[in-house]
Amino acid sequence: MPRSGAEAVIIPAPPAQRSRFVRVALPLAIATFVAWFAADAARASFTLENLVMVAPAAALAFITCTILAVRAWHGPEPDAAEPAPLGPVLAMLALLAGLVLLMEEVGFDVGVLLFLISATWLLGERRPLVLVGYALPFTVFAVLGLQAILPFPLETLVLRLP
Amino acid sequence: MIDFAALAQATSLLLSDWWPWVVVPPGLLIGLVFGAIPGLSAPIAMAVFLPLTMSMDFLPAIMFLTSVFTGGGFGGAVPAVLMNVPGTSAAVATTFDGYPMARQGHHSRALGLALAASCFGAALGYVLLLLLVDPIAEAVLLLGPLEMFAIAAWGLTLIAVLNEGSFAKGLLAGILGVVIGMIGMSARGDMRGTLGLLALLDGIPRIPALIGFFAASEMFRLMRNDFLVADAAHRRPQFGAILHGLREAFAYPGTLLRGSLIGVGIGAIPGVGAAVANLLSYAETKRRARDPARYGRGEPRGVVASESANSSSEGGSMATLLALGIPGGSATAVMLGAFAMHNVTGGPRFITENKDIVYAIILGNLAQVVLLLGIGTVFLFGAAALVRIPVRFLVPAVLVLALLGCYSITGTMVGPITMVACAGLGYWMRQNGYPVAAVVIGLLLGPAAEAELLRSIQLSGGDPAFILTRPIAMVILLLLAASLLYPLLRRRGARAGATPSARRDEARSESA
Repeated sequence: MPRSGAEAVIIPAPPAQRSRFVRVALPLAIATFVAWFAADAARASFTLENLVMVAPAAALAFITCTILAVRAWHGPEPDAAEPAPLGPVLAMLALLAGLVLLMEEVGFDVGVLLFLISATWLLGERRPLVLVGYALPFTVFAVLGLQAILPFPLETLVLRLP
Repeated sequence: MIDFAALAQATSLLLSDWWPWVVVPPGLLIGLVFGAIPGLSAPIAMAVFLPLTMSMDFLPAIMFLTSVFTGGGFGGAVPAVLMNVPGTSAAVATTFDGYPMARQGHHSRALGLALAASCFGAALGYVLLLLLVDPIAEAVLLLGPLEMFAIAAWGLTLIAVLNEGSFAKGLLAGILGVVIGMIGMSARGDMRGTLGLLALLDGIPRIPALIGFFAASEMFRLMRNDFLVADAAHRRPQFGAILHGLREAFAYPGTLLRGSLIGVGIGAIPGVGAAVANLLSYAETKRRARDPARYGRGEPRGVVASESANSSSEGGSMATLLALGIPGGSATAVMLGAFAMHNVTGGPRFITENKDIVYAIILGNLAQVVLLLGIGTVFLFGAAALVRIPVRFLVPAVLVLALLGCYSITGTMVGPITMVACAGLGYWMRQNGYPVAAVVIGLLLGPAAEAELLRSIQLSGGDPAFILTRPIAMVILLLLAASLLYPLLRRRGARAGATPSARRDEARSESA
């Protein structure tokens, strides 16, 4: 079917580009981490045996970080993924971090249940019955299953194997 | 080579009692389930079920444990293909092409390919073990730290092969993995990058880090989708496609054979095992391919290369266990525990005095591989239905299972904390085009390479001429150099052989 003229001239908007500071942040962060590690290793013992892998790895890392940072500063990277909204990812990461921090305090069972409900809600499920109907049996299965397998105790508030 | 009288005794030993056969199917199923859950693995399953074997005779006990080992060896491929989550470190390379196949709707076919390659690799490993159990064990004793370093270095070169995008990004990601892997107490006893924390003395736990980099960061990316497979028509598990994959694996006999032989050779070396074998096999297959650009985008040969190697390494690791009494990894260490529970000590004397039992174990394992083909096919049909679960339920469930799995590995919160930290870093790297697979390879192989290099320096007193006294190391390093140069020479040869017009076309397409 022939298209109308109005449809034919639609030009897709160019994809959003990351700022140059965002683009160079990762190679700089890696360079900082490697520099700190190499300095710490050298402080521990400045010998060939201790630095036989550390020194070449650090030298190579600095060279590649410099190349990548300069390249990223000058223009967009063709192999980078399309910029995606960071909000949901950061929220999920925060939920995971919260679960890790609270798991031993509130018990693995309560922590996992709360995480499953909030993460599923975050991903778009809004029906309360479905949220609980999914999270509750899964928590019981996962926590009791792990309790049965592990040779060491799992901190829980409610669920305990007889 | 083969002691036929002992072989006949072994056959009658296996056929005269039904117990060894009763324990195999549940063992395979347990292994498949434990292998398929990220964080859990065959060694954990074997450790959990080890007490059960107390009440069994020696042969059924070992048959049960080896069936868990065999099932677990393949089980890791299931989440690797379906979710880009290597169930075990032995399935890392399976994700490279298995997952892209799944995203294209070929998950059933990819799982079939993986199962067939696994069964072929494991079977070939055990056949070689049957024929060469004594020579394999003797050869292993000839390997020293320099040879181990050469093998680890070979695995590290995969970093260069892996990345389709910027070489510098792949290299930096690999170095980052090596550096993260060096955190903790070195082989020489120096504390590096521990921040004074006792929890970091043993270093960053590798499996939780691997799960974080691969699994969790992939889950963050998946959050934008409704289903793993976009096309609804492709979501149905297809039994026909699994069978098609099973047959298709045999269309790549060279890849199957190379992967299996690499697996047996690497698996026999204590402490190296399947985690290196799958990467090495993948690297070699991609390096030799006429069309390496297809790898990493859903190339069936990539799945076959990885799975044939990680499964055949099982036969290699059993060789050192039976012939030398040395466990090659955690699974064979648990098996050594079962040996001890039954007052059996592996080693040359055990082989000489109990050849019928050794043969019975090997024959039993060969039969297990055939059973795995049947049980695994049914298991895969169920597992392939995973792609029908909406992402909003799948992502939280996978994250919870991965987190609990990480806790079960370390027994402390260090595992889950590592997973979450690596998940965030992995997502950041993926978004910027850095291959997280290179980080994982560096993490797995870097510390091993450093420890072996250090031992070589200590043994040689720092004299470079030491290498001239180690012919096997020289051969491995020469093979490594040849495998690195081979693609370059072939490309140059192809260019020299091409007609001027074809060269002009190639140059034009490259500039485009």
